[in-house]
Amino acid sequence: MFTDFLSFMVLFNFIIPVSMYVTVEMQKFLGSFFISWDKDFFDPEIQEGALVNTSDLNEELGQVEYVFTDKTGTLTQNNMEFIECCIDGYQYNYRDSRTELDGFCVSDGPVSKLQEKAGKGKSQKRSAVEKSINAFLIVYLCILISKALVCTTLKYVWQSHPGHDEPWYNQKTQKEKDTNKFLKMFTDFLSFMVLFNFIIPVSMYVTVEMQKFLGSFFISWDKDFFDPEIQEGALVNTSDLNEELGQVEYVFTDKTGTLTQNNMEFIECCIDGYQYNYRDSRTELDGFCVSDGPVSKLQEKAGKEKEELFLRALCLCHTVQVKEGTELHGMDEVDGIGASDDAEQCCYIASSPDEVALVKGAKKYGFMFLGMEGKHMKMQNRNKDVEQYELLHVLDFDPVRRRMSVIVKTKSGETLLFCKGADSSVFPRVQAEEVERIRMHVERNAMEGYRTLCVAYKSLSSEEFEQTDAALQDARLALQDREERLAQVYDQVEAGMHLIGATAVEDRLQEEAAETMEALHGAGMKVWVLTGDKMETAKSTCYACRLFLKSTELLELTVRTLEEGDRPREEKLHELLLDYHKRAVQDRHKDKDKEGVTRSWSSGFREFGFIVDGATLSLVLNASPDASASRYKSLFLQICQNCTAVLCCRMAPLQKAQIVKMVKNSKGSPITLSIGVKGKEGRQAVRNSDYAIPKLKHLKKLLLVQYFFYKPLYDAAYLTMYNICFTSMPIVAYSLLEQHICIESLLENSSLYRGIAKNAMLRWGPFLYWTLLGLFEGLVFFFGVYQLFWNPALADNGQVFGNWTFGTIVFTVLVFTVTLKEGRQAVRNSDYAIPKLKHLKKLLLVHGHLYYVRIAHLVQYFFYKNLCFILPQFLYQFFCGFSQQPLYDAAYLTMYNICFTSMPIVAYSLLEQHICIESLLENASLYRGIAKNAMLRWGPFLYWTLLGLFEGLVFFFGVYQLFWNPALADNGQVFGNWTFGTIVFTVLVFTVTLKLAMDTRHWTWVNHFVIWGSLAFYIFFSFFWGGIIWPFMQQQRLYFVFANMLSSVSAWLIVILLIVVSLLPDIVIGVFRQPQGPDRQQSASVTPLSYKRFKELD
Amino acid sequence: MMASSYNAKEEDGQLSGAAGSGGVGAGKSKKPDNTAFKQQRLPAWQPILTAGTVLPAFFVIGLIFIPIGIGLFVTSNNIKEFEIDYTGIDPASPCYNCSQTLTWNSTKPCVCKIPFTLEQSFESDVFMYYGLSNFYQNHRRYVKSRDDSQLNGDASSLTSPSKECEPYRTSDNKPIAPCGAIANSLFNDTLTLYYINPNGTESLVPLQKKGIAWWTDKNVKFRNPGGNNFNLTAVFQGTSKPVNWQKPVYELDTDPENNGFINEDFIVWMRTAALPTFRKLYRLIEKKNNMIPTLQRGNYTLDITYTHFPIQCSDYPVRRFDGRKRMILSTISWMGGKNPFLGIAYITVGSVCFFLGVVLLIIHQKYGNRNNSAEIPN
Repeated sequence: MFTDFLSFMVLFNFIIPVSMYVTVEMQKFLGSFFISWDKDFFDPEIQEGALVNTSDLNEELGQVEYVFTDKTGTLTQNNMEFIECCIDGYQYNYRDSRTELDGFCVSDGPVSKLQEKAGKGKSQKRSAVEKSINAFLIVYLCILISKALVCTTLKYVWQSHPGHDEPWYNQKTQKEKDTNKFLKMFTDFLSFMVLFNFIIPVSMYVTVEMQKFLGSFFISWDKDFFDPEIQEGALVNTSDLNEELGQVEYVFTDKTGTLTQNNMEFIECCIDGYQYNYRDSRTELDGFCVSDGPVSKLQEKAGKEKEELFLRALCLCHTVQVKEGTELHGMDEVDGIGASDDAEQCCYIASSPDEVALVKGAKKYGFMFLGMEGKHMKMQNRNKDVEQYELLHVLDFDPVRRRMSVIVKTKSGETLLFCKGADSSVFPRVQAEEVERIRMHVERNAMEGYRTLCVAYKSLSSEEFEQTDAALQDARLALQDREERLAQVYDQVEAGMHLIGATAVEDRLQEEAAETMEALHGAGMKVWVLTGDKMETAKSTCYACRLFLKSTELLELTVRTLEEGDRPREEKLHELLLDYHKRAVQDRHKDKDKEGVTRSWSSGFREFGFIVDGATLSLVLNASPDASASRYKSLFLQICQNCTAVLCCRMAPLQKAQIVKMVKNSKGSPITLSIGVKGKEGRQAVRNSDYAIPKLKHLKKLLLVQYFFYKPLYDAAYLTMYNICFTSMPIVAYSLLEQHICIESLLENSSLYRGIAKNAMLRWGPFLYWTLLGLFEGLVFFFGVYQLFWNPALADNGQVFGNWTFGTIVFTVLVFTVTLKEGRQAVRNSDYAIPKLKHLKKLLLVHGHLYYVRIAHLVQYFFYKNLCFILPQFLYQFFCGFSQQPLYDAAYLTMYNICFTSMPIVAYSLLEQHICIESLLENASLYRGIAKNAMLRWGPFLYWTLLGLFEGLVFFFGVYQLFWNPALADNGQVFGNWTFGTIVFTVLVFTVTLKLAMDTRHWTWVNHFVIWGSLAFYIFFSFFWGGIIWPFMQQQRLYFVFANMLSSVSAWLIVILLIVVSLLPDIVIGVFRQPQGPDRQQSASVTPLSYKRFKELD
Repeated sequence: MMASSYNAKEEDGQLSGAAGSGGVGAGKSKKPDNTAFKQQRLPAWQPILTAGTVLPAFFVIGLIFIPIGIGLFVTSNNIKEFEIDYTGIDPASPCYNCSQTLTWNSTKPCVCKIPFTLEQSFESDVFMYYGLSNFYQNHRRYVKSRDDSQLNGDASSLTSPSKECEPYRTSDNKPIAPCGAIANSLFNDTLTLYYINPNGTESLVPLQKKGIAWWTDKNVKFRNPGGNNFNLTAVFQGTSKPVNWQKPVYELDTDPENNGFINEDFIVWMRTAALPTFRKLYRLIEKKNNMIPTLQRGNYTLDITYTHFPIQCSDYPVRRFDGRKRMILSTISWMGGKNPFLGIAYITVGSVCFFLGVVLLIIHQKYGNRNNSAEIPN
């Protein structure tokens, strides 16, 4: 009864549309191209169309119910026109108006821009592991094809011998005799391919996917990543790139908000050349603390008027919003950049924390900003009087001007312009003598790592104002070149101002930023800091983060160094580049040669830090279009690559992206990691931002799904061919091309979208309809044909057909899997979110390292185990007249990869810790051992392949020797070919599993359970499979073969012997590899057997 | 064999976890669970393969394998085996005539007698094998050319055999039973053995037909159709004999327990051999008396009776494909038939392991200490 049940299961299993998954994936992948191909999405300004980052969610686009959008840059083209409105109390100022995914992506500031860019760079490259796998796959495909070719050739050589082709005992059928010879050769070739196709580890893709998917949970489960403040752990948005975390070579980081907390604190100000401190005695930056003067009391140094003017300017010149009440705490979190003051009833919200810090700073000195009332700004002055100013214009901050201004009208009717901005942009616009008084303070503050801003004012006469007002209105209403014209007006207005003072704001470093950076540094990663800040500020932050050490030799390539001397910039640049190149690159190579072959990163080297600023960078990158341009670029790149840390300051957002792209496209396309801190909103945005468009997609997928469930019901004969070949192409074509309503009408009638809302077409109703339709048609078909064809001949044909079909299936699946895999890899975007910078250390050093080692081992192991699986089968062809006789039973062939050997490697790939987590965290240098894809290069691949070859040879010839006398039982009875195959297979399963057991360094109960479990399962299955006469099987090949095999002592002995022989070389090589010089310590981490070292290192 | 350490990471993990959850409070938190599995801190056994642990393993393997190998080798050498080729290639051979197509007279079965001498007596049970070489029983077309459900006694398969049996599926529009190439080419030379007494008279050596096939094959896998109906002639009514056979399947033997599909010679033949040179068990010669050896040393004659083979030839035709036919007499030990390979392999592997152990020991002694001392300054 049970066997009947099983046989029915087998017979009817086609009702589960397995191939649907392949087709759905394919549909998604191909379908997503239509989005990026759509020329309606092409924006002529940025010369780019829609970018699709994921193909997984195409159909979700048809299901959007809520649309979250950001105002600035998304709804509006730029924020000029809506300058005075704000959505729900949020106003965003600092923004790059050129969003990459125009209209689709809710991007948040320069950080996410950077990430998008980096992500885009990545999407063009497949993951390194993926590339290796594909290369290996090609090698194995070549092996497969050459094997099949060799066998086919030899078959015909062999058959040319008279007695061989058709001996009297084994004649061909008439059909075989009639077949054309060349056709026969071709089919022979194909059937050899089918016979050996198991060498291609198709199941590896499934396993790799599974490993990645399950493995990524460990990151989100890791409690070390949990941040009690925001109550969240790490967030993993992609599982595809876990192992890449172990391969990072370059780290790009933003300074603000990433290295630092972006939690500004007003430190001091300087009014008219006098310094005012407002400071807690405690400072974060050791060694840079300058705390002088009495604390927290404003001293009467400058004139009172100037002082009050300065503070008023601070209070007025900003775009801060005031929110009252306590419910705002939640909002603060959502915004991520707002700031609340617990002591006060109100809190300030702004897009930039600097502004909040400044307003708060002013409050500490007695001037409190109370908020907007209509068009009036209210503030409380030191005498607790409320002053009102009419806000006339806000000249927005933008990264090019690097300043912002407000024009206000006092009660007394005076029109004032307050401006604040970076020193470099303010100094040229004020009187020179004022600059001199303040410059010193600004520079000193910058050295201390504070963010500095200068404040200036200008009093506008009414005529001036009228003029400006008109010009501004004019420019804002302009339809063309609005931005240019606005900039022009701004430029005019913000001239001839009086400098009143400067502020210094401290941005605290992230927790454990220094430790993290040190660890990354130790792990051999190159850290690039990309920031918009002043060079001095950025430099001191770098020192504080220990990116630059005291011993680090700094190479500066900035405007300042370029302007030393009188020569033109280009010349100087050229000279400097050459000089630095000599110091950083050539000398270093010399050193290396001197030190001999040791390829270590040890402390013997001078370490270089490289500083470049935006202006110089643009000189380098966009140099005059002659031959020297590319030369500069390559020189620059080489210098950068030889420096341990690179600081790029004064960068425009676009330049940041340029840098990342440049490094990504450099030789060897190293793996880069961009980090930036995103608020929750940012995360949300990334998750939801991949799509735009239509419902079409949705319909397609859904019809596809339904159709698949519906069609197998009424098919009987060519079950296998059916799904794969006969019916798949039309539905694929349909799913790609179908437009049941034309695009125009879809666009016009947005209400049509509602028709498919809430997954309407994949609900139970339609499903039932399709199923019933399928049932009905199945009945009609079946009973219609029943009358004509009550003849089992059809089923018998299936057998003849079966062999070829089988090959087709495997190859189709193979081809699909490979294509899809690559496709999906390419379109996905990486995104890991961790709450704090300090977590980066563990993410890279531990998770990245472990994932890489796990996946590399998994990949190599798969190739190895399939090679030694199929090699005996290949060798057997030489002894069976090249007749494609399989060595193993069909059940073993299919179960090998699925059941017998898959679980241990999955458990291994999830749980293995070849080095314990603690020592990984402590020894950052271990990370270097796996750098540059060390475990998936040709060397290790060759090793595994040779191991597989050796073991395959041992298996086959060991058993072959034994079968010279097939009387192996102690009762004299002989064993046949299936016993031969079963012995080989038993040795194979045991060896392969034990090999993995030997490589396992970390035996948890799961490993024990799975490894011993699958061996036990193999034995159990063999008994079970051989213990029953299976009614649906044509041949009972294995009936009691396994049990009889076990009754023979010789079989036991040969199994044990061959297992020992196969494992021996691995053990010996592992042991011999140990006693090599101490410099091998780190790179030895790749060899499975040399972990003694690490024990010693601990 | 391996140095090992159980780490007790789990406990401290739980301790800190308890404290942590207390601090967070009862509110719903996204804090990841602090379980050993999720934190990748499952207690683990961490074996380390070092020279120190591998060395004893090598010695142990060597010390176990070498005695086993010697035992196997001695056992294999003690097995007595006698082999005689009776293909009749050589014109001087008595079987030459019978193997020639043209000279054969179809009315009378051809018999040839090959005398041979056993130098040693065979003390225990003797097994008689026939061996064929260059016979591709493992050819794919051949291997699949059978119908196991027919052989299992399935009535419908008896009348309509599987397509796999082509071109040996039907003859004269009647289904062949048993169908297929394997059955069709059943080995049909009859071998008999005579002991030539010192006085010159021949005495027949009793050969036992039963017990040569696997018990499960004989009792489960192969079944005659019609269940317990011993009237096989009626059961096989409407089927045709295989083309190459002289007699139908129900006349293979007179004993009803050994007739039809459950004829043991037939079952043995149906278990296809793994390699083109193979041997198959033919008869058993059981030891009767403890005092007398099963086969005394002395002279014997092997009588080969050739069965009529319809396709224009005389004997079981192997010369067509350069094949050879052999008769093998062999005793059997606990490890099966004579095969020195296993013993030699065990001795070799054991010695290699032992040798490697010694080499490693030397290396370990010489360099291991120096290495350790060199590392201390680091």
